[in-house]
Order: sequence, then structure tokens, then C-alpha cells
Amino acid sequence: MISAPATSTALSVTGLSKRFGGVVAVDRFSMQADGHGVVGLIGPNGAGKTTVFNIITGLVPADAGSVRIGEDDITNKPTYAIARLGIQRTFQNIRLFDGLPVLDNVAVGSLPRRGVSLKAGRERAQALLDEVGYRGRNDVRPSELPYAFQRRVEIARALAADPKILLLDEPAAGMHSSERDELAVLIRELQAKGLVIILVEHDMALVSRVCDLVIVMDFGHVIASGSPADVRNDPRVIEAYLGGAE
Amino acid sequence: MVIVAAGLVPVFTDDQYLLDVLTEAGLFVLLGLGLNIVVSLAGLLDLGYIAFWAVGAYTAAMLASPQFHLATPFLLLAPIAVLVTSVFAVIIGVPTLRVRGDYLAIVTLGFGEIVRLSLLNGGSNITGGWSGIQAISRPSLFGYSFGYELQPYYYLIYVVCVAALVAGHRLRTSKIGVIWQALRDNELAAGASGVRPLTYYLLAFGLGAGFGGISGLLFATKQIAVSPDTFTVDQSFLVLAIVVLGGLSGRFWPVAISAVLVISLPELLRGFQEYRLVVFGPLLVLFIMVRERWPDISRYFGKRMRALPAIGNPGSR
Repeated sequence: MISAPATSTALSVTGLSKRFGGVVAVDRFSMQADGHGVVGLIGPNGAGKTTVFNIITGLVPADAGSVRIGEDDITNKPTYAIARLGIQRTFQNIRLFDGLPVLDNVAVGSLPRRGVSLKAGRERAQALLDEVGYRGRNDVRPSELPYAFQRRVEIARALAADPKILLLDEPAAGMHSSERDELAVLIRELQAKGLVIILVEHDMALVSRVCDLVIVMDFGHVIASGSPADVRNDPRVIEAYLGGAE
Repeated sequence: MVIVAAGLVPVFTDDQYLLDVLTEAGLFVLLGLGLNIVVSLAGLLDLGYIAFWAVGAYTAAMLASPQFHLATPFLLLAPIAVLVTSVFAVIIGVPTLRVRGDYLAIVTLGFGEIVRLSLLNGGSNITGGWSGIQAISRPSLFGYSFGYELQPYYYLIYVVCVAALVAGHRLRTSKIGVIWQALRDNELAAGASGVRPLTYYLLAFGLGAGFGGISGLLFATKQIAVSPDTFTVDQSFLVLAIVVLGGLSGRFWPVAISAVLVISLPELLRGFQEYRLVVFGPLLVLFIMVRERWPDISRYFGKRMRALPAIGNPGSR
């Protein structure tokens, strides 16, 4: 379903590897994603999901393998350059600018582009905060907000940069069930607008609802992939999560 | 109000000692505002900032003294001093900004000393060596020539300080200011949003140094002599103390007040004679402690003030 021909906005990751000392964090990891669905990246803690995000966004250099947007090789480019090429992300451990009010936090997503004034950036930020369903105040510092609100601010900031590809690292963490429902709707809406979305998430109910393709990682490589239903019944996946019968 | 009052001081007194202390304070206001850009807005720890004061001062000294038989007019000298200092800062910034945090502090500390030692060893025919450069031309503005009296210097430095405060405030609330603060709060996230850190850090270095350059120019043309022993590392620490006492919030107001306080306080403590610095140190620490706990203190006294800027809430602007 997801293996449609590569469009210019498709993200393809091939043979990615990364070692930290003696630990193989990512081991010949490959995946494809385009605008035809939401890709869920799941796996037990330490499987290498966040490291994959870090390599894609240039925060951590890859030892081997390549990351491409369409035909463009972006492997190991500087983070800011990759961001400008259309990849945005949120962080598992939220990274907002705590000396700035919420509105400016979001505006920073669009400010690095030439010709975007602070006023225009703030107007866009306001529109995006509404779009992602943020209902808090705009003039407070992010640390004064509950987690669920902070996560929305991060998503709004990512959208402010007009990304083609959006990487969400555990966006539902710290949210209660009705907030998760809203998040699921939001992710679906963004996908419908043609955004390529890759989601790292532990909440299987959310993954089942929003993802078209699920990739399961363990010890740095892919152990299974397919529709949420397929993956849930895959014995290798069950073994990875629950441990083998040795 | 405080601002206007500060501008009128010479009308009420011609006490040269008082004016001398206040003009000195004005020079450090400029230094504090400049370092505030680097430390509080962009979040870079610079321990060699006084080098930019030296570059500004020596630029003025070389271009308007018998050293090279030049007499550059003051209105031309000012932009040159700012430009030279800013360019110098960017040149220093390119190699040093590869490191951050404590490492940057050490590297800038080293560069500060390199500048001082270069001036010291520059030879009598270039920088004047240990004795520096003398007989620098006094400023001359719109046909008015400055003399020994301090009043005109006071007005000049006052006007530049006010302009610098306005410039600082506008910088902080501009697009660049917002991006600087984002880098300060989380460089990684700012980078992931598309901000190229080096560009904005160099901008902070360059603009911040410009304030130091203009202060150096005013210092040199007021003292009419410069020598390397003015630009020691403890002066860098003094400017940093001003910025830290100013609250590190990025605001410029508190820094200006802090500079006046830090420079004039040791003078007010002259009564303690040789012990005055012993009193000054703990007082500084006390100020910072009060500042730090200001929200608690103001709550204790029943006033509901907004969090951060302790001495930074002057109702005058």
C-alpha cells in the first residue's frame, strides 16, 4: 500500500547504521514513506527509533547508509540545512524555548526563512496554534503549560517551517485519552493535506488508529512491517515485546 | 524619568569627581549592553569581551593622534571604530565559535589576553608598547571642541548610552532577537527549526562588539591616552558581573542600572578606604542573591510583581 512510486516528497532511508561505542543502536535500517499514509515506527525501549529520527534530522551522524528526500541525498547534512529542505520533527523530551512566550516559540519555526518578518511569523504562529487545537495562553512560557499543551506547541512550531515530512517522537506521551483522540484526528488531517508523517509511539491504540503502515524495530533493525493488524499478530513482534520462550 | 534626570546631572553640579565617576559608569553601561547581547540574548559565555574595548580605543588612538600623524574627524572616527571592532569580533568568532559553554569561555579568555599582549608587544612605532599612545585628539562635534571640562563628555556619553539602550531594546524585540533567544534556550531545537547557529552567533559577536568599540572610542578620546594595562582580564570579569547582576534575562534596562551601580559603588565605599573592595565583593553577592529571590521577596512584602526582572522594572519607559 505504501510502496507507491517515489514522489519528490518521499523519504527513503537505506541501510542506515549507527554504533555508540560497543552498542549497535541502528543496524542496516531501511524504510520508505510518502504522502499516501502515516508510518508508525514502533519497538521496545532502546530499539533505535529515536536514533533513526536523530540521524534523519542530522543531529547524529550516520556510520553507514543514506537518507534521501526524493532524489536528494541529505545524509549527514547540517541540521539546519535538513530542516530547510523540508524535514521537521518534535522531540520525545520536549524541547521548547523557555525564555520565549508560546507565540514566539512557534514563530521561530518560520523565522529562519528569508523575507519572513517577525510580525508575519507571529500571525502564522497564531493560525497554526489554532489549527493544532492549542487552547492555552500565547503569552506564557512553555514550562508553565501541561505536557499535552507543550506537545501541541512543538507540533505547531514544526508546521511553521512548512515541512514536507514531519517526524513525531512520542507525541501522545503525557496525554489523557480524549487528548489522544484529538491528536489522532490532527495527525489524520495533516496527512490528508499531503504531509509525510512518521510517528514513533508506544500507544498501540493510537498507532492502530492513525497508521497505515507499521514498522517494528528491535535491536536497531526492522523485525516486521505491515498493517497494524498484521503486525500485532506477528509472532516476532510478540516475542520482541514479551520476550522469547527460551 | 530616571533617564531624563540622569541627563540633567551636569546642570545641577559641576563636581568633576562626580562627573568622572558617572562618565566612567556610562562607558561601562555601553560595555554591559554589548556583552548583554552576547551573553544574555545569544547565550554565549565570553570572558574576553574587554578586548573589544581595547580594539575600539586603539582604533581611535591610532587614527587620531601623532602616532601616525592622523587627525580623523570624530564623526568619521565613530563609524570606523565600530566597524573595525565588529569585523575583528567576527574574525575572532569564526574559530572560537566551534566550541560552546565552558570551552568557549576559556577560548575567549585566551583571546582577550592575546589582544592585550599583542598591544603590549606591538612595538613603540605601532601600538606604543607598554606606554601606549598619547595625545589623542579630543572630540570635536559640529564646530564644538571638547576640552578638559567633563560636562560635554558626560552629555556625549549620555546620548550614546540612551541610543544604545534603545538599539538594544529594539534588537531584543526584533526577529534577530527572537532567534538569538531561541538559540540560547535550546540550540538543538533552533537548529532543527532551520536556524543556522553560526550565522546568528557571529551576528551577536559582531553587534555586541560594536557597543564595546564605541565605548572604547569614547574612552580613548576622553582619556586622550590609552595603554594595554587598562584592558586586563579583571575588567572582562567586571563587565560580566554587570551583565549577571543585570539578570541574564536578555533585557537591557537592568544591565544599564547594574553598570551604574557596579561602577559607582566602589566610589561610594571610599569611606572604607583600603577595605572598600572587601565590602564591595560581598555587596555584589548580596545584590545577586536578592535579585535571584526577588519573586519571593516581593511576594513577602505583599506586592504581586511579574517574575523575572528584579531591578529591571523601572516604571520610566
